[in-house]
Order: sequence, then C-alpha cells, then structure tokens
Amino acid sequence: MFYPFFDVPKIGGGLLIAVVAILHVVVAHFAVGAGLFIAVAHTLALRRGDALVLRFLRDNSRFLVLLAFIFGAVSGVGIWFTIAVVSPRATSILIHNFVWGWAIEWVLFAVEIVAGYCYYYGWDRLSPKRHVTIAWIYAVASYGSLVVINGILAFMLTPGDWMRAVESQRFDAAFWSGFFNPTYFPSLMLRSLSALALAGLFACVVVNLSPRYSREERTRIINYAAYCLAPMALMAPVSLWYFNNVPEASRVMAAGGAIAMTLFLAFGIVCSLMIGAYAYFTLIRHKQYVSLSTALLLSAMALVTTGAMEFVREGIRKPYVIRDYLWSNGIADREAEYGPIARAGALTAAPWIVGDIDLATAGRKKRGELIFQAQCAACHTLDGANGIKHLVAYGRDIIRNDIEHLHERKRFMPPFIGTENDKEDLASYLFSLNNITHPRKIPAYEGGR
Amino acid sequence: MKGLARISMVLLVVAVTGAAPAQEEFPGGLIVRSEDAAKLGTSQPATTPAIRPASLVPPKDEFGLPGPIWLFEMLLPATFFLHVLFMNVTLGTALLAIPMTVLAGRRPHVRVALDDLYAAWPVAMSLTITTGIAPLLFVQVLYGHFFFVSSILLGWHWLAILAALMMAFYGIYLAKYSAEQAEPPNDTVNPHRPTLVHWLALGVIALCCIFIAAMFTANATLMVMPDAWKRVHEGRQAGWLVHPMFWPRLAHNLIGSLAVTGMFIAIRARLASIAEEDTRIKTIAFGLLVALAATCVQVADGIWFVVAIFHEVVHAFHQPTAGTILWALAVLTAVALIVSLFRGLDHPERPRSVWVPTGLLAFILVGMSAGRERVRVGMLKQHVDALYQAGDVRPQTLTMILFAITLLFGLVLIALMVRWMFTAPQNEATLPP
Repeated sequence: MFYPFFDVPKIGGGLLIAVVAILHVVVAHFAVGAGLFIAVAHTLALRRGDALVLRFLRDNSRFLVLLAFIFGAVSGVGIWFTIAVVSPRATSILIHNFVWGWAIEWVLFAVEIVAGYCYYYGWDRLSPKRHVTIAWIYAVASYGSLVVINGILAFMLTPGDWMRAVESQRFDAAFWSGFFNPTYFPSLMLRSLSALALAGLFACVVVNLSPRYSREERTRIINYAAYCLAPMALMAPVSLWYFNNVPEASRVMAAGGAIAMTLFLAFGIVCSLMIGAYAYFTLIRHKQYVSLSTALLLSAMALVTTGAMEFVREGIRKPYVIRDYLWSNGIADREAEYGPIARAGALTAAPWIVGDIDLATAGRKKRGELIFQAQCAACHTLDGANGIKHLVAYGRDIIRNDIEHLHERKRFMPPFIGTENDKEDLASYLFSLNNITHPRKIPAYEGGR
Repeated sequence: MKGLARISMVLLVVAVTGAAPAQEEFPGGLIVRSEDAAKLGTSQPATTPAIRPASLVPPKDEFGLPGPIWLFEMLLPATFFLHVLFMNVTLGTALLAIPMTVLAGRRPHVRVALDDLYAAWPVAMSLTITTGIAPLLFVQVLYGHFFFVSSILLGWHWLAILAALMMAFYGIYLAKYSAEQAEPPNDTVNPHRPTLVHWLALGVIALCCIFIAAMFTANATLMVMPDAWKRVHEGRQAGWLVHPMFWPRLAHNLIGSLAVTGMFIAIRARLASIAEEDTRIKTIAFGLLVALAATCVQVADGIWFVVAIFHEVVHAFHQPTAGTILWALAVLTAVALIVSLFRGLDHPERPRSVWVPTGLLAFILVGMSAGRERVRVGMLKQHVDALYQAGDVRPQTLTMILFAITLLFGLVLIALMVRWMFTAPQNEATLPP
C-alpha cells in the first residue's frame, strides 16, 4: 500500500515467492540434514575403520558444496530479494522485530559455510580428529540456523503473545514470545524430519552418480542412508501435533474448509508415509538397492512433498501475512490503520498507485482498476494464476455483494477496506472484465411435490 | 521536503476553505481532510488531489529499531567492510581472468598468479555472498523504506541479480575445473591452452559480475534519491541513471576491485612457498603493478565521483563525524598508497613492499565504508524526518547481547578452523579426487 506495486504478470508475486522458496527450502533442508548425517557417519566410520563410508562422505561433501553452498546460498538471498519486492511491508516487520534473530542466524550461517569448506578441502590435509570436529561444527551450526529461522517462519502463522508484549513495551519479551510461538516445536520437528530425509535421498543419488562404486558398495551406502529416510513416517503424528497448535480458522481450512489446502496436506502426509515405509521395509529390512532413476524419483517426490507442505503452511495463514496483524493485502488489522482508509477511501493511502491520475474525473472503472491494484493484486493476477477474471464471472450484483461479504464467506479472504463508493468502483471494474449481462438462469418451477 | 509539502498542503487548504481543517493522520504520515473523509458513500470519489499523500517515501517501520541507532550505524559499515574484502577479490578476478589468461601463456609468474586466483575464487565468491547478507540486513533495518522502493522500481533488473549470481558462481567452478583440465603443456611457448568452454565461462562470469555491480550501484543510488522515484516509476527515466554519480561510482567499484585483487596476488605470492624465488618475486611485482595501475586510475575516477556528489560531500563536512573524518583520511591515504606501491615495485622481494600497501589499502577500505554512510545520510537530508530517530528505538537488550555472544563465539570458531587449515601439513588446498 505504501510501496509501489511490483507486477508479476500471469503468475503473481505470491507464486514467484513460492517457487523460489520451495526450491530453497529443499536445498537448505538438505544442507542441514546432510550436516547431521555427515557428522554421525564420519564419527562411526572412524571408530569402525570404514573406508567405504569415508570415501562416500568425501564425494558427498563435494555434492554438498556444489548444491547447498551455491544454489542454496543464492536462492536464500533470492527469497529475501523476492519477498522484499513483493511484500515489502511484511518483510520490514519481520526484519524490525527479529533483526537480532536474523543476525544470529547469519553468524551461524557464516560458521556453517566456513566449516563446510574446511571439511571439503580438509580431506587430504586435516588430522582425522580435527576433520571430524569440523564436521560436527558444521552440523551444529547448520542445525542452529534452522533452529533460528524456524522461529521467525512459524511466527508468521502463530505470533503467540508477541503483540501483547509489544503493546506493553516489553520488547525482549516480544521477541521471545514471537519466536517460541505455539507452532515452534512441532514445526522444528517437521523440518528436522524433512532435512534428514532429504539428506538420505540425496545420498542415494550421489552414490549412484559416481562410477567408482560397485553394486554392493552402493547398496551398503543406500541401506545406511535409509536410516535418515525412515523417520519420515513420523510426519503424520507430528503434523497432527502441528495442526493442534495452529489457530482454529487455519485448522478448519486445512481440514476441508479450503479443499486445495486439504488435498495438498493429504498429499504431503501420504507421500511422506510412503517414502518412510519404503525406506524401512525395502531398504532397512530387506537391504535392497535403489537405482539412480528411482533415487531421483524419490527425490522428486520429496521436492513435491516439501512444496505441498510449504504451500499449506503459507495458505492456512490467509487472510494474513502475519496472523492477526497484517492482512495479505498489506493493510494492518488495526482500527488505527484501516479505519482512516475505510472512511476516506481505499486510494487515499496508495500514492504510488494513484500517481497523477485525477480521481474526480477518472471514471468509475478506472478507479476500480486502481483499487484492484491497491487491495487485490497482492494475491490475484488479472487472468493468470489465481486470476481475478475467472473468479468474478458473475453478474454485477453478485460481485458487489461479494466485495461486501467475501471475508465472511471465504475465511481466507481479507475484508475489503474502503468506502461504499470504492466498492461500487471496484464492482464496476471487476464486472467489466467479463461483462456477463445475461447470466444463464434456470427457471424455478412452482409445485412438483 | 516532506514537512514542507505538508505545510504547503495545509496552507493551500486554509487558503481555499478559510480555516485550518481537522486532519486525520495515517500511520504512513498521510494527511486526510476530515471533511473529505466524511464523504463516504457519496457519489463523489473519496479521494481528491487535496488529500494526496505528502510524500512517496513510505513510513518508517511501526515497530521501530530493536537497538540503538549508533549500533546499527556501526554494524552496517563494519559488515560492509568485511563484504567488500571478499567481493573485491571475486569481482577483480572476474575482470582480470581474461587478460591474465592471455598473458599467462608467455609469462609463468602470471600463470602462478592466475592459479592462485582460481584456487581462491570459489571460496571468495561464497564468502562474498555470506558476508553480504549482514550489510543487506542492516541497510534494511535503517533504510528499508527507501531500499524496498528502489528495489521495486528496479524490478526485474534487480531480481536478475539472482540469475547472474547463480551463473557466475557455477561459471567459476566451470572455469576452475576447465583450467585444471586444460591440455598438458606440449611446448614452452604456449603451455596452457584454455578450451572454448573456459573462455566462454570467463566471459559470462565477467559480464554477470559487472551486471551485479551495476545493479547494486544503481540501487544504492536510487534509494537515496526519492525525488527521482516518480520519474522512474512512470518510466520517464531508467532506474540506474537517476544521478550523474552512477558511472563514476560503478567505475569506482570496478577499479577498486582491481586494486584489491592486485594486492591479493602480491599477498598470496608473499606467503606461498613457490619453488622458484624469481617467479615468486615477479608474481609479487605483478600484483603490486596491478594495484598501482588501478589506484592511479582510481584517483582520476575518484575526482569525477566527488565532483558528481560535490554538494553531498560539502554537506557531510558541515557537520563532520567520525565517518566523514575517516573518509577524508582515506582519500589522503590513497596518495600514500601510490607512493608505497611505487617504492614496493623497486624492491618487491622485501616483505614491507607488500605489507605497507596492504595496511594502507585496508585503511582506505575502512574509510570508504564509513564515509559512504555519511554521504548516504547527506543525500537523504531533505527526508530527515523519514529517518529513524532516537524515539523510534524499542530495545531488545537481551537478544542483542545474545547476538554479541554468538558473534564472538562464531568468530572464534571461524578463526580456529581457518588456523587448522593453514597449519595443516599441506600448503595447497586439494580437491577430493
């Protein structure tokens, strides 16, 4: 609202963030899981004198650098860049409330990167003791970064007592109550399971990529990595714990209130169960082999599963970006903010959108278009993903009524903030997108009982 | 500016209506006349030009700063300094790689220098990104409402940095490996024959790095020029050409990276145990020569740059601060750097020929990092009420202390790990086979 609108044609800003975020989350979770996997496997391999596992860890560390340190790092910056241009206000709020959290996470990330490179370049130069110590430093730092970032991500859905603490001027308490919010621990558990599973899956890929392993050696490594995959089966009970702690409205949405959310959630949980069960029965109990193509297929399933779960997490937060504080259209759910806009008009606080346009002479449709940009375009494209054109293929009266009551009918929609005149303007614009002047009507017949 | 616009608006309303109107203030500092607000539901649009916002500058974050302003003002240049150390080596290598590859065929010491750069390049790139996160965070803390607007106005050009960064990063690995796997020498005239892939990788890396530098320069310039935002938003001016300082500033960044990379070559050669002493001395001299040439050109570009921001510099010296003084000293130190590099070239075998210019260059980077913050504040002087003030501070003291402890602990761990690596038996990093 206070910022210029960044137009992402056809796919919308939300989907742009989702694409970057999901790719990043998969790689970042892999980096965390791989840290734990490498540290434990390296320690055990040294104790047992297991040359095969050490050889594999060496190959795996190269894969870690090429994937996590390049793609992971750049896509991490990418999330920041994209949320800043798509949702600048929400980004600003997250930064100003949690700057010390972000800064701590940065320190942990820096330690993680240095440890990762030292581990990678240390194979032929460090003593085994120092080398494995660096593996543990990497594991703790990378998991620590997840511990920190998880608090800020979970905060957006369940801010806990954060606002109460802010209002009572207890700023340290605000940080910690927002950080250790109701979904913090279940969310951390879900992410930990996902991180381990991705480390296991990518291990199956890496061992298959190198021609230097025999079939037996590959099978041994894969069976070893399967211990990271099996905990995926815990996704179902931990998800239940998670959803027990989300707000009632979000739970309703996930449990059938918004069918897309429900399907994505079901898909995520079922996929996790299938991967976990496959790992336990096929790889751990029956010590079977996984080919490169199967490993890639399982990794792709994990990518889609992670995407589905992230989509649900983002989706059930609606109509808020920050639950109970900032609506997805960038207006704060505070009378002090929406009150003046509702009284003076939707465009009074949208200087970037109005520009030099003379609203008095602009015409109803034009004003409606500007209002659409101010309050709807954060989530809706015109005719692309979540396109408004397809969603308003009704008569004008229905559109007008929807603007008034949509937040009551669909709980993931924020209320429209504006005057009666604004609602008329917006209805005129939305109606003009389809111009359905003669909707098909089925006549109602009397009698027939 | 914003305050003036508000006053003019009120005066205009007084002139038209004959009385000071009751006002309703938005969180964003937007002023709405209550009589307009009362027009709800009427046939007239609720907004009129008279109630347009006083400024396009978004409001400060309503949650304020979670620590004292001075602390963020210190953390921003401090972390930026760390960032430019690695960034300059990454960027400088990108710019030097092609000419050095051409020269390396006939000059073994250039080959040595190039191999040193290739060995450090991927790690330097990674640390550029890692250390870049902190100043990016702190600039958003202090100036987020300016920075977000300029980022949005640059739009896809700004986001294209991500693609460029990804291509450059993977390109560096490609260039490094293709250099290592270049044909073995079969004659002494042209011992290394870079492949076409290698040349292409170097070209793409150089272009990507220059593009990234240009976009960061553009954003850092556009964010402090709210008066130009409207023109850019309406498409009347390109986002990176809003101020004549853009070109000298971009050149300043590119040339500076050559100077730092030149010194890096000299330092690496000084510390490395190269079999032939003569090659080592020549490598040091080559590094010093690159640094000297770049610094001399930088002086000329620096004058162009200062002329472009003359008013801002004058303003900064009206109220000199530690940052301004450091910057002025850094400018003077540039002359000392040139002298020390000249003298170093006469005796490149002496340790001081490397360490004295290294110290001077480090001080220049500190001074420039501190000074740029003062120039930034100077350029925003007309929007001073949009900057955070002491009253905006909402301290999170315990969390701040936790960060300080984590930082200290993290730095100790990093120092320990780096020490382990450098005191390890082998002297050169080896990749796993």
